[in-house]
Amino acid sequence: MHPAGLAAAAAAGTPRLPSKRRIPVSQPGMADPHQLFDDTSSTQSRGYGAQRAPGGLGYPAASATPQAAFLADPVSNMAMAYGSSLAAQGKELVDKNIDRFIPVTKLKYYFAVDTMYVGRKLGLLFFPYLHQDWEVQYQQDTPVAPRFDVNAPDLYIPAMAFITYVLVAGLALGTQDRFSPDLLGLQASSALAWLTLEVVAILLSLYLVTVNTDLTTIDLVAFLGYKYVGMIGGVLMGLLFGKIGYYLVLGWCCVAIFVFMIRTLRLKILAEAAAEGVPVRGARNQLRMYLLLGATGLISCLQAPGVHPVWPQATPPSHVASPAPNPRC
Amino acid sequence: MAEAEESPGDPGTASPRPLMRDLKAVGKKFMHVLYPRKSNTLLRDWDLWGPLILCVTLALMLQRDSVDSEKDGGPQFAEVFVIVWFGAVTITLNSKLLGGNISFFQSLCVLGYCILPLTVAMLICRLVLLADPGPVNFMVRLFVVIVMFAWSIVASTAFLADSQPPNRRALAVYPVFLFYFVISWMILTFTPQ
Repeated sequence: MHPAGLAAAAAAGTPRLPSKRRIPVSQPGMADPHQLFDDTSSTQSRGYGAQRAPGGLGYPAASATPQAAFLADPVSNMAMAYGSSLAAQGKELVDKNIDRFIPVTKLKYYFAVDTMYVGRKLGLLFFPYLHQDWEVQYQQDTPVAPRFDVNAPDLYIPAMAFITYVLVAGLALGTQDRFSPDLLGLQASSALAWLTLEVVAILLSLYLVTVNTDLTTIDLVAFLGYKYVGMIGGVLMGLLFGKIGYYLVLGWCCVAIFVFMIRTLRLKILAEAAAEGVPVRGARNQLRMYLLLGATGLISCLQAPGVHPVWPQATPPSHVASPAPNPRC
Repeated sequence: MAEAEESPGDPGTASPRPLMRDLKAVGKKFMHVLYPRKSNTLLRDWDLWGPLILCVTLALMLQRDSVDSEKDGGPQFAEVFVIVWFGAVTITLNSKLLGGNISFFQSLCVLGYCILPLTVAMLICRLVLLADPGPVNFMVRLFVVIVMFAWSIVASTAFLADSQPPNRRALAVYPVFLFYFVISWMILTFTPQ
Protein backbone atom coordinates (compact mmCIF):
# COMPACT_ATOMS: atom_id res chain seq x y z
CA MET A 1 0.00 0.00 0.00
CA HIS A 2 1.80 3.10 -1.17
CA PRO A 3 1.33 6.43 0.48
CA ALA A 4 -1.13 7.67 -2.15
CA GLY A 5 -3.40 4.80 -1.33
CA LEU A 6 -3.04 5.49 2.35
CA ALA A 7 -3.78 9.11 1.82
CA ALA A 8 -6.85 8.25 -0.22
CA ALA A 9 -8.01 5.94 2.52
CA ALA A 10 -7.36 8.59 5.12
CA ALA A 11 -9.12 11.18 3.04
CA ALA A 12 -12.05 8.89 2.49
CA GLY A 13 -12.08 8.03 6.13
CA THR A 14 -12.14 11.47 7.52
CA PRO A 15 -15.25 12.81 5.79
CA ARG A 16 -17.20 9.75 6.92
CA LEU A 17 -17.51 11.11 10.43
CA PRO A 18 -19.53 14.21 9.76
CA SER A 19 -21.81 14.15 12.80
CA LYS A 20 -19.94 12.33 15.55
CA ARG A 21 -16.72 14.19 16.03
CA ARG A 22 -15.51 12.16 19.01
CA ILE A 23 -12.06 11.76 17.58
CA PRO A 24 -10.35 14.89 16.31
CA VAL A 25 -9.85 14.23 12.65
CA SER A 26 -8.63 16.66 10.09
CA GLN A 27 -11.35 18.92 8.73
CA PRO A 28 -12.15 18.39 5.07
CA GLY A 29 -10.76 21.75 4.17
CA MET A 30 -7.54 21.40 6.16
CA ALA A 31 -4.35 20.07 4.64
CA ASP A 32 -3.80 16.52 5.94
CA PRO A 33 -0.02 16.05 6.35
CA HIS A 34 -0.22 12.67 4.61
CA GLN A 35 -2.30 14.01 1.75
CA LEU A 36 -0.64 14.80 -1.52
CA PHE A 37 -3.24 17.34 -2.52
CA ASP A 38 -5.56 19.80 -0.83
CA ASP A 39 -9.05 18.53 -0.38
CA THR A 40 -10.85 21.81 -0.90
CA SER A 41 -14.25 20.59 -2.08
CA SER A 42 -15.83 19.81 1.30
CA THR A 43 -19.38 19.18 0.08
CA GLN A 44 -18.13 17.01 -2.73
CA SER A 45 -15.98 14.91 -0.43
CA ARG A 46 -18.75 14.52 2.14
CA GLY A 47 -21.11 13.37 -0.58
CA TYR A 48 -18.44 11.00 -1.82
CA GLY A 49 -17.97 9.69 1.67
CA ALA A 50 -21.68 9.18 2.13
CA GLN A 51 -21.78 7.31 -1.14
CA ARG A 52 -18.89 5.11 -0.25
CA ALA A 53 -20.03 4.21 3.24
CA PRO A 54 -22.90 1.97 2.21
CA GLY A 55 -20.69 0.67 -0.62
CA GLY A 56 -19.70 -2.21 1.59
CA LEU A 57 -16.12 -1.35 2.42
CA GLY A 58 -16.62 -3.31 5.58
CA TYR A 59 -17.59 -0.38 7.74
CA PRO A 60 -21.35 -0.74 7.90
CA ALA A 61 -22.10 1.70 10.70
CA ALA A 62 -18.77 3.35 10.32
CA SER A 63 -19.77 6.61 11.84
CA ALA A 64 -21.08 4.97 14.98
CA THR A 65 -18.31 2.61 16.07
CA PRO A 66 -14.88 3.72 17.05
CA GLN A 67 -13.42 0.77 15.17
CA ALA A 68 -13.63 2.61 11.86
CA ALA A 69 -11.69 5.48 13.30
CA PHE A 70 -9.16 3.01 14.68
CA LEU A 71 -8.70 1.45 11.27
CA ALA A 72 -8.87 4.69 9.41
CA ASP A 73 -5.93 5.96 11.39
CA PRO A 74 -3.12 5.94 8.78
CA VAL A 75 -0.50 4.63 11.20
CA SER A 76 -2.49 1.53 12.01
CA ASN A 77 -3.24 1.08 8.32
CA MET A 78 0.45 1.03 7.63
CA ALA A 79 1.02 -1.32 10.54
CA MET A 80 -1.61 -3.70 9.18
CA ALA A 81 -0.09 -3.57 5.71
CA TYR A 82 3.38 -4.21 7.10
CA GLY A 83 2.10 -7.03 9.26
CA SER A 84 0.33 -8.74 6.39
CA SER A 85 3.37 -8.43 4.13
CA LEU A 86 5.53 -9.86 6.91
CA ALA A 87 3.15 -12.78 7.27
CA ALA A 88 3.21 -13.39 3.52
CA GLN A 89 7.02 -13.34 3.55
CA GLY A 90 7.14 -15.73 6.46
CA LYS A 91 4.77 -18.12 4.74
CA GLU A 92 6.86 -17.99 1.58
CA LEU A 93 10.00 -18.77 3.58
CA VAL A 94 8.40 -21.74 5.31
CA ASP A 95 7.04 -23.07 2.01
CA LYS A 96 10.42 -22.74 0.32
CA ASN A 97 12.23 -24.53 3.14
CA ILE A 98 9.67 -27.30 3.41
CA ASP A 99 9.92 -27.79 -0.32
CA ARG A 100 13.64 -28.39 0.08
CA PHE A 101 13.16 -31.32 2.45
CA ILE A 102 9.84 -32.77 1.34
CA PRO A 103 9.08 -32.18 -2.34
CA VAL A 104 5.43 -31.29 -1.84
CA THR A 105 4.64 -30.63 -5.50
CA LYS A 106 6.14 -33.96 -6.50
CA LEU A 107 4.17 -35.69 -3.78
CA LYS A 108 0.99 -34.09 -5.05
CA TYR A 109 1.48 -35.86 -8.35
CA TYR A 110 1.42 -39.19 -6.58
CA PHE A 111 -1.78 -38.31 -4.77
CA ALA A 112 -3.65 -37.16 -7.87
CA VAL A 113 -5.90 -40.19 -7.78
CA ASP A 114 -9.57 -40.88 -7.80
CA THR A 115 -11.80 -43.69 -6.67
CA MET A 116 -11.96 -45.43 -10.03
CA TYR A 117 -8.18 -45.53 -10.33
CA VAL A 118 -7.89 -46.99 -6.83
CA GLY A 119 -10.47 -49.66 -7.61
CA ARG A 120 -8.79 -50.69 -10.85
CA LYS A 121 -5.33 -50.70 -9.33
CA LEU A 122 -6.46 -52.92 -6.46
CA GLY A 123 -7.95 -55.28 -9.02
CA LEU A 124 -4.63 -55.28 -10.89
CA LEU A 125 -2.71 -56.03 -7.70
CA PHE A 126 -4.76 -59.11 -6.99
CA PHE A 127 -5.13 -60.28 -10.60
CA PRO A 128 -2.46 -58.95 -12.96
CA TYR A 129 -2.63 -61.81 -15.44
CA LEU A 130 -5.09 -60.45 -17.96
CA HIS A 131 -3.80 -56.89 -18.23
CA GLN A 132 -2.11 -56.33 -21.57
CA ASP A 133 -0.65 -52.87 -21.74
CA TRP A 134 1.73 -51.97 -18.93
CA GLU A 135 3.25 -48.86 -20.44
CA VAL A 136 2.79 -45.54 -18.64
CA GLN A 137 1.46 -42.88 -20.95
CA TYR A 138 3.46 -39.72 -21.30
CA GLN A 139 2.32 -36.24 -22.10
CA GLN A 140 5.08 -33.99 -23.40
CA ASP A 141 7.87 -35.73 -21.51
CA THR A 142 6.07 -35.84 -18.18
CA PRO A 143 4.19 -38.92 -17.09
CA VAL A 144 0.46 -38.57 -16.94
CA ALA A 145 -1.19 -38.24 -13.53
CA PRO A 146 -2.34 -41.54 -11.99
CA ARG A 147 -5.92 -40.45 -12.39
CA PHE A 148 -5.67 -40.88 -16.14
CA ASP A 149 -3.53 -43.98 -16.44
CA VAL A 150 -3.88 -47.10 -14.37
CA ASN A 151 -0.23 -48.04 -14.91
CA ALA A 152 1.18 -44.95 -13.23
CA PRO A 153 2.45 -45.41 -9.65
CA ASP A 154 0.77 -43.56 -6.82
CA LEU A 155 1.43 -43.14 -3.12
CA TYR A 156 -2.14 -43.15 -1.81
CA ILE A 157 -2.58 -46.92 -2.00
CA PRO A 158 0.79 -47.78 -0.40
CA ALA A 159 0.30 -45.25 2.41
CA MET A 160 -3.24 -46.36 3.20
CA ALA A 161 -2.26 -50.03 2.82
CA PHE A 162 0.60 -49.57 5.27
CA ILE A 163 -1.62 -47.95 7.89
CA THR A 164 -4.40 -50.48 7.34
CA TYR A 165 -1.91 -53.33 7.60
CA VAL A 166 -0.60 -52.07 10.95
CA LEU A 167 -4.15 -51.74 12.27
CA VAL A 168 -5.35 -55.09 10.91
CA ALA A 169 -2.27 -56.77 12.37
CA GLY A 170 -3.13 -55.22 15.72
CA LEU A 171 -6.69 -56.47 15.31
CA ALA A 172 -5.49 -59.99 14.55
CA LEU A 173 -3.22 -59.93 17.57
CA GLY A 174 -6.13 -58.67 19.62
CA THR A 175 -8.31 -61.62 18.72
CA GLN A 176 -5.49 -63.85 19.94
CA ASP A 177 -5.29 -61.86 23.19
CA ARG A 178 -1.81 -60.74 22.39
CA PHE A 179 -2.58 -57.08 21.81
CA SER A 180 -1.31 -53.97 23.49
CA PRO A 181 -1.11 -50.51 21.91
CA ASP A 182 2.65 -50.37 21.93
CA LEU A 183 2.56 -53.40 19.65
CA LEU A 184 0.97 -51.14 17.05
CA GLY A 185 4.05 -48.96 17.21
CA LEU A 186 6.30 -51.99 17.05
CA GLN A 187 4.51 -53.37 13.98
CA ALA A 188 4.58 -49.99 12.28
CA SER A 189 8.26 -49.41 12.84
CA SER A 190 9.28 -52.92 11.86
CA ALA A 191 7.23 -52.77 8.66
CA LEU A 192 8.76 -49.39 7.87
CA ALA A 193 12.24 -50.78 8.53
CA TRP A 194 11.63 -53.67 6.12
CA LEU A 195 10.40 -51.24 3.47
CA THR A 196 13.44 -49.01 3.86
CA LEU A 197 15.73 -52.02 3.65
CA GLU A 198 14.11 -53.20 0.43
CA VAL A 199 14.24 -49.76 -1.18
CA VAL A 200 17.91 -49.36 -0.28
CA ALA A 201 18.72 -52.84 -1.56
CA ILE A 202 17.07 -52.25 -4.92
CA LEU A 203 18.62 -48.81 -5.30
CA LEU A 204 22.04 -50.25 -4.50
CA SER A 205 21.68 -53.09 -6.98
CA LEU A 206 20.46 -50.71 -9.68
CA TYR A 207 23.46 -48.51 -9.02
CA LEU A 208 25.91 -51.41 -9.10
CA VAL A 209 24.64 -52.69 -12.42
CA THR A 210 24.65 -49.07 -13.71
CA VAL A 211 21.17 -49.07 -15.06
CA ASN A 212 20.00 -45.70 -16.34
CA THR A 213 16.33 -45.47 -15.67
CA ASP A 214 13.93 -42.72 -14.87
CA LEU A 215 12.76 -44.71 -11.89
CA THR A 216 12.82 -42.26 -8.98
CA THR A 217 13.07 -43.26 -5.33
CA ILE A 218 9.45 -42.33 -4.73
CA ASP A 219 8.39 -44.56 -7.63
CA LEU A 220 10.30 -47.41 -6.04
CA VAL A 221 8.71 -46.77 -2.64
CA ALA A 222 5.30 -46.81 -4.34
CA PHE A 223 5.95 -50.12 -6.12
CA LEU A 224 7.34 -51.76 -3.02
CA GLY A 225 4.47 -50.43 -0.95
CA TYR A 226 1.93 -52.21 -3.10
CA LYS A 227 2.79 -55.49 -1.44
CA TYR A 228 1.04 -54.38 1.77
CA VAL A 229 -2.26 -54.82 -0.02
CA GLY A 230 -1.55 -58.53 -0.39
CA MET A 231 -0.47 -58.79 3.22
CA ILE A 232 -3.71 -57.20 4.39
CA GLY A 233 -5.64 -59.68 2.27
CA GLY A 234 -3.75 -62.54 3.83
CA VAL A 235 -4.33 -61.42 7.40
CA LEU A 236 -8.03 -60.71 6.80
CA MET A 237 -8.59 -64.11 5.22
CA GLY A 238 -6.73 -65.66 8.10
CA LEU A 239 -9.10 -63.91 10.51
CA LEU A 240 -12.13 -65.14 8.63
CA PHE A 241 -11.12 -68.61 7.50
CA GLY A 242 -8.27 -69.72 9.73
CA LYS A 243 -4.93 -71.16 8.80
CA ILE A 244 -5.85 -72.60 5.40
CA GLY A 245 -7.36 -69.37 4.18
CA TYR A 246 -4.31 -67.47 5.40
CA TYR A 247 -1.78 -69.65 3.57
CA LEU A 248 -3.84 -69.83 0.39
CA VAL A 249 -4.35 -66.10 0.08
CA LEU A 250 -0.78 -65.33 1.07
CA GLY A 251 0.51 -67.69 -1.64
CA TRP A 252 -1.81 -66.17 -4.22
CA CYS A 253 -0.73 -62.65 -3.30
CA CYS A 254 2.96 -63.59 -3.46
CA VAL A 255 2.60 -64.83 -7.03
CA ALA A 256 0.37 -61.92 -8.02
CA ILE A 257 2.69 -59.22 -6.73
CA PHE A 258 5.65 -61.02 -8.30
CA VAL A 259 4.01 -60.94 -11.73
CA PHE A 260 2.85 -57.37 -11.24
CA MET A 261 6.27 -56.08 -10.32
CA ILE A 262 8.06 -58.00 -13.06
CA ARG A 263 5.74 -56.65 -15.72
CA THR A 264 5.91 -53.10 -14.43
CA LEU A 265 9.61 -52.85 -13.69
CA ARG A 266 10.65 -54.70 -16.84
CA LEU A 267 9.50 -51.76 -18.90
CA LYS A 268 11.29 -49.28 -16.71
CA ILE A 269 14.60 -51.06 -16.27
CA LEU A 270 14.97 -52.77 -19.60
CA ALA A 271 13.67 -49.85 -21.64
CA GLU A 272 17.08 -48.25 -21.64
CA ALA A 273 18.68 -51.48 -22.74
CA ALA A 274 16.12 -51.84 -25.51
CA ALA A 275 16.87 -48.30 -26.63
CA GLU A 276 20.57 -49.08 -26.82
CA GLY A 277 19.83 -52.20 -28.82
CA VAL A 278 23.41 -53.34 -29.37
CA PRO A 279 23.82 -57.16 -29.46
CA VAL A 280 26.87 -56.96 -27.20
CA ARG A 281 24.59 -55.73 -24.54
CA GLY A 282 22.71 -58.96 -24.70
CA ALA A 283 24.55 -60.34 -21.71
CA ARG A 284 23.87 -57.14 -19.80
CA ASN A 285 20.23 -57.37 -20.61
CA GLN A 286 20.18 -60.91 -19.34
CA LEU A 287 21.96 -59.85 -16.17
CA ARG A 288 19.38 -57.15 -15.58
CA MET A 289 16.56 -59.58 -16.17
CA TYR A 290 18.01 -62.03 -13.66
CA LEU A 291 18.56 -59.23 -11.20
CA LEU A 292 14.99 -58.12 -11.61
CA LEU A 293 13.61 -61.60 -11.19
CA GLY A 294 15.73 -62.25 -8.13
CA ALA A 295 14.93 -58.97 -6.46
CA THR A 296 11.19 -59.11 -6.99
CA GLY A 297 11.09 -62.79 -6.05
CA LEU A 298 12.86 -62.06 -2.80
CA ILE A 299 10.63 -59.11 -2.06
CA SER A 300 7.41 -60.90 -2.73
CA CYS A 301 8.59 -63.73 -0.54
CA LEU A 302 9.39 -61.26 2.18
CA GLN A 303 5.68 -60.67 2.58
CA ALA A 304 5.48 -63.84 4.60
CA PRO A 305 8.01 -63.06 7.30
CA GLY A 306 6.54 -59.60 7.54
CA VAL A 307 3.25 -61.17 8.52
CA HIS A 308 4.84 -63.93 10.58
CA PRO A 309 4.47 -62.29 14.01
CA VAL A 310 0.76 -61.98 13.39
CA TRP A 311 -0.26 -65.45 12.25
CA PRO A 312 -0.36 -68.15 13.41
CA GLN A 313 1.10 -69.01 16.75
CA ALA A 314 1.00 -72.45 18.28
CA THR A 315 1.87 -71.32 21.80
CA PRO A 316 1.08 -67.83 23.04
CA PRO A 317 4.42 -66.13 23.67
CA SER A 318 5.06 -63.63 26.42
CA HIS A 319 5.87 -60.96 23.90
CA VAL A 320 5.92 -60.84 20.16
CA ALA A 321 9.12 -62.17 18.57
CA SER A 322 10.84 -60.31 15.78
CA PRO A 323 10.15 -61.72 12.29
CA ALA A 324 12.41 -64.62 11.39
CA PRO A 325 13.34 -64.82 7.69
CA ASN A 326 11.46 -67.96 6.79
CA PRO A 327 10.42 -67.83 3.15
CA ARG A 328 7.23 -69.71 2.61
CA CYS A 329 6.59 -69.06 -1.07
CA MET B 1 -9.05 -17.72 17.73
CA ALA B 2 -11.38 -16.57 15.06
CA GLU B 3 -13.74 -14.35 17.05
CA ALA B 4 -11.50 -11.39 17.86
CA GLU B 5 -13.26 -8.84 15.73
CA GLU B 6 -16.66 -9.53 17.23
CA SER B 7 -15.84 -8.03 20.58
CA PRO B 8 -17.22 -4.51 20.95
CA GLY B 9 -14.56 -3.47 23.38
CA ASP B 10 -12.36 -0.43 23.29
CA PRO B 11 -10.23 -0.34 20.20
CA GLY B 12 -6.90 0.35 21.80
CA THR B 13 -7.01 -1.96 24.83
CA ALA B 14 -7.13 -5.79 24.68
CA SER B 15 -10.17 -6.79 26.72
CA PRO B 16 -9.88 -10.17 28.51
CA ARG B 17 -12.07 -12.78 26.77
CA PRO B 18 -14.71 -14.06 29.11
CA LEU B 19 -14.56 -17.79 29.84
CA MET B 20 -18.32 -18.23 29.46
CA ARG B 21 -18.26 -17.12 25.85
CA ASP B 22 -15.58 -19.66 24.97
CA LEU B 23 -17.44 -22.39 26.80
CA LYS B 24 -20.61 -21.46 24.95
CA ALA B 25 -18.77 -21.67 21.64
CA VAL B 26 -17.48 -25.12 22.52
CA GLY B 27 -20.94 -26.18 23.64
CA LYS B 28 -22.48 -24.90 20.43
CA LYS B 29 -20.05 -27.01 18.42
CA PHE B 30 -20.91 -30.06 20.54
CA MET B 31 -24.56 -29.53 19.59
CA HIS B 32 -23.58 -29.31 15.93
CA VAL B 33 -21.83 -32.64 16.18
CA LEU B 34 -24.70 -34.32 17.98
CA TYR B 35 -27.21 -33.15 15.38
CA PRO B 36 -25.14 -33.11 12.21
CA ARG B 37 -26.47 -31.06 9.40
CA LYS B 38 -24.65 -29.22 6.68
CA SER B 39 -23.32 -26.10 8.32
CA ASN B 40 -20.12 -24.17 8.39
CA THR B 41 -19.89 -23.38 12.08
CA LEU B 42 -17.26 -25.99 12.86
CA LEU B 43 -15.19 -24.94 9.91
CA ARG B 44 -15.48 -21.19 10.20
CA ASP B 45 -14.66 -20.65 13.87
CA TRP B 46 -12.37 -23.51 14.55
CA ASP B 47 -10.91 -24.05 17.98
CA LEU B 48 -9.05 -26.92 19.56
CA TRP B 49 -10.42 -26.70 23.12
CA GLY B 50 -13.23 -29.13 22.45
CA PRO B 51 -10.98 -31.82 20.98
CA LEU B 52 -8.57 -31.40 23.88
CA ILE B 53 -11.31 -31.84 26.47
CA LEU B 54 -12.68 -34.88 24.64
CA CYS B 55 -9.26 -36.47 24.21
CA VAL B 56 -8.35 -36.01 27.86
CA THR B 57 -11.72 -37.38 28.99
CA LEU B 58 -11.39 -40.41 26.74
CA ALA B 59 -7.81 -41.10 27.81
CA LEU B 60 -8.74 -40.80 31.50
CA MET B 61 -11.69 -43.15 31.12
CA LEU B 62 -9.57 -45.71 29.30
CA GLN B 63 -7.29 -46.04 32.31
CA ARG B 64 -7.46 -49.20 34.31
CA ASP B 65 -7.54 -49.51 38.06
CA SER B 66 -4.65 -51.94 38.36
CA VAL B 67 -1.14 -50.65 38.84
CA ASP B 68 0.38 -53.57 37.00
CA SER B 69 0.46 -52.29 33.43
CA GLU B 70 2.65 -54.99 31.93
CA LYS B 71 0.09 -57.71 31.48
CA ASP B 72 -3.30 -56.13 31.08
CA GLY B 73 -2.54 -54.56 27.72
CA GLY B 74 -4.59 -51.43 28.14
CA PRO B 75 -3.60 -48.12 26.61
CA GLN B 76 -1.64 -45.67 28.65
CA PHE B 77 -2.76 -42.07 28.79
CA ALA B 78 -0.01 -40.96 26.45
CA GLU B 79 -0.79 -43.73 23.98
CA VAL B 80 -4.39 -42.60 23.56
CA PHE B 81 -3.22 -39.05 23.05
CA VAL B 82 -0.66 -40.06 20.46
CA ILE B 83 -3.11 -42.26 18.58
CA VAL B 84 -5.78 -39.57 18.46
CA TRP B 85 -3.59 -36.65 17.47
CA PHE B 86 -1.28 -38.57 15.18
CA GLY B 87 -4.28 -40.12 13.45
CA ALA B 88 -5.94 -36.73 13.02
CA VAL B 89 -2.75 -35.23 11.59
CA THR B 90 -2.38 -38.11 9.15
CA ILE B 91 -5.95 -37.75 7.94
CA THR B 92 -5.47 -34.02 7.46
CA LEU B 93 -2.24 -34.53 5.51
CA ASN B 94 -3.94 -37.10 3.32
CA SER B 95 -6.84 -34.78 2.67
CA LYS B 96 -4.55 -31.92 1.76
CA LEU B 97 -2.40 -34.07 -0.52
CA LEU B 98 -5.52 -35.32 -2.28
CA GLY B 99 -6.21 -31.70 -3.10
CA GLY B 100 -8.87 -30.69 -0.61
CA ASN B 101 -9.53 -27.05 0.13
CA ILE B 102 -9.75 -27.32 3.88
CA SER B 103 -7.11 -25.88 6.14
CA PHE B 104 -4.97 -27.88 8.56
CA PHE B 105 -6.53 -26.68 11.80
CA GLN B 106 -10.07 -26.74 10.48
CA SER B 107 -9.68 -30.42 9.71
CA LEU B 108 -8.14 -31.14 13.12
CA CYS B 109 -11.04 -29.28 14.73
CA VAL B 110 -13.70 -31.29 12.89
CA LEU B 111 -12.04 -34.64 13.57
CA GLY B 112 -11.55 -33.82 17.23
CA TYR B 113 -15.10 -32.68 17.78
CA CYS B 114 -16.51 -35.78 16.10
CA ILE B 115 -14.94 -37.93 18.81
CA LEU B 116 -17.84 -36.76 21.01
CA PRO B 117 -20.20 -39.68 20.17
CA LEU B 118 -17.44 -42.16 20.96
CA THR B 119 -16.77 -40.47 24.30
CA VAL B 120 -20.47 -40.84 25.09
CA ALA B 121 -20.17 -44.50 24.09
CA MET B 122 -17.22 -44.87 26.50
CA LEU B 123 -19.33 -43.43 29.32
CA ILE B 124 -22.18 -45.81 28.55
CA CYS B 125 -19.80 -48.77 28.34
CA ARG B 126 -18.31 -47.94 31.70
CA LEU B 127 -21.78 -47.83 33.21
CA VAL B 128 -22.80 -51.09 31.55
CA LEU B 129 -19.62 -52.76 32.81
CA LEU B 130 -20.74 -52.13 36.38
CA ALA B 131 -23.25 -54.91 35.86
CA ASP B 132 -22.05 -58.53 35.82
CA PRO B 133 -20.05 -59.52 32.72
CA GLY B 134 -21.37 -61.95 30.16
CA PRO B 135 -22.34 -62.22 26.52
CA VAL B 136 -25.37 -59.96 26.96
CA ASN B 137 -23.13 -57.33 28.44
CA PHE B 138 -20.82 -57.61 25.46
CA MET B 139 -23.69 -57.46 22.94
CA VAL B 140 -25.04 -54.29 24.52
CA ARG B 141 -21.63 -52.66 24.46
CA LEU B 142 -21.03 -53.79 20.88
CA PHE B 143 -24.34 -52.31 19.78
CA VAL B 144 -23.70 -48.98 21.52
CA VAL B 145 -20.18 -48.70 20.11
CA ILE B 146 -21.32 -49.53 16.58
CA VAL B 147 -24.08 -46.92 16.70
CA MET B 148 -21.76 -44.24 18.03
CA PHE B 149 -19.08 -45.17 15.50
CA ALA B 150 -21.57 -44.73 12.67
CA TRP B 151 -22.68 -41.41 14.19
CA SER B 152 -19.09 -40.15 14.32
CA ILE B 153 -18.49 -41.05 10.72
CA VAL B 154 -21.72 -39.45 9.54
CA ALA B 155 -20.96 -36.30 11.52
CA SER B 156 -17.43 -35.90 10.24
CA THR B 157 -18.41 -36.74 6.67
CA ALA B 158 -21.09 -34.06 6.77
CA PHE B 159 -18.38 -31.50 7.40
CA LEU B 160 -15.45 -32.90 5.46
CA ALA B 161 -17.13 -34.26 2.38
CA ASP B 162 -17.70 -30.85 0.84
CA SER B 163 -14.01 -30.12 0.70
CA GLN B 164 -13.31 -32.83 -1.88
CA PRO B 165 -14.72 -33.29 -5.38
CA PRO B 166 -17.13 -36.21 -5.65
CA ASN B 167 -14.74 -38.59 -7.40
CA ARG B 168 -12.34 -38.47 -4.44
CA ARG B 169 -14.74 -38.35 -1.53
CA ALA B 170 -14.48 -42.05 -0.73
CA LEU B 171 -10.69 -41.79 -0.73
CA ALA B 172 -10.78 -39.00 1.85
CA VAL B 173 -13.40 -40.70 4.02
CA TYR B 174 -11.57 -44.05 4.22
CA PRO B 175 -8.83 -42.92 6.67
CA VAL B 176 -11.51 -41.24 8.80
CA PHE B 177 -13.24 -44.61 8.94
CA LEU B 178 -9.97 -46.27 10.03
CA PHE B 179 -9.36 -43.61 12.68
CA TYR B 180 -12.72 -43.96 14.37
CA PHE B 181 -12.49 -47.72 14.00
CA VAL B 182 -9.29 -47.75 16.07
CA ILE B 183 -10.88 -45.61 18.76
CA SER B 184 -14.01 -47.78 18.81
CA TRP B 185 -11.83 -50.87 19.07
CA MET B 186 -10.03 -49.41 22.08
CA ILE B 187 -13.37 -48.60 23.71
CA LEU B 188 -14.89 -51.99 22.98
CA THR B 189 -11.97 -53.99 24.32
CA PHE B 190 -11.81 -52.00 27.53
CA THR B 191 -12.30 -54.11 30.62
CA PRO B 192 -11.52 -52.68 34.05
CA GLN B 193 -9.52 -55.09 36.18
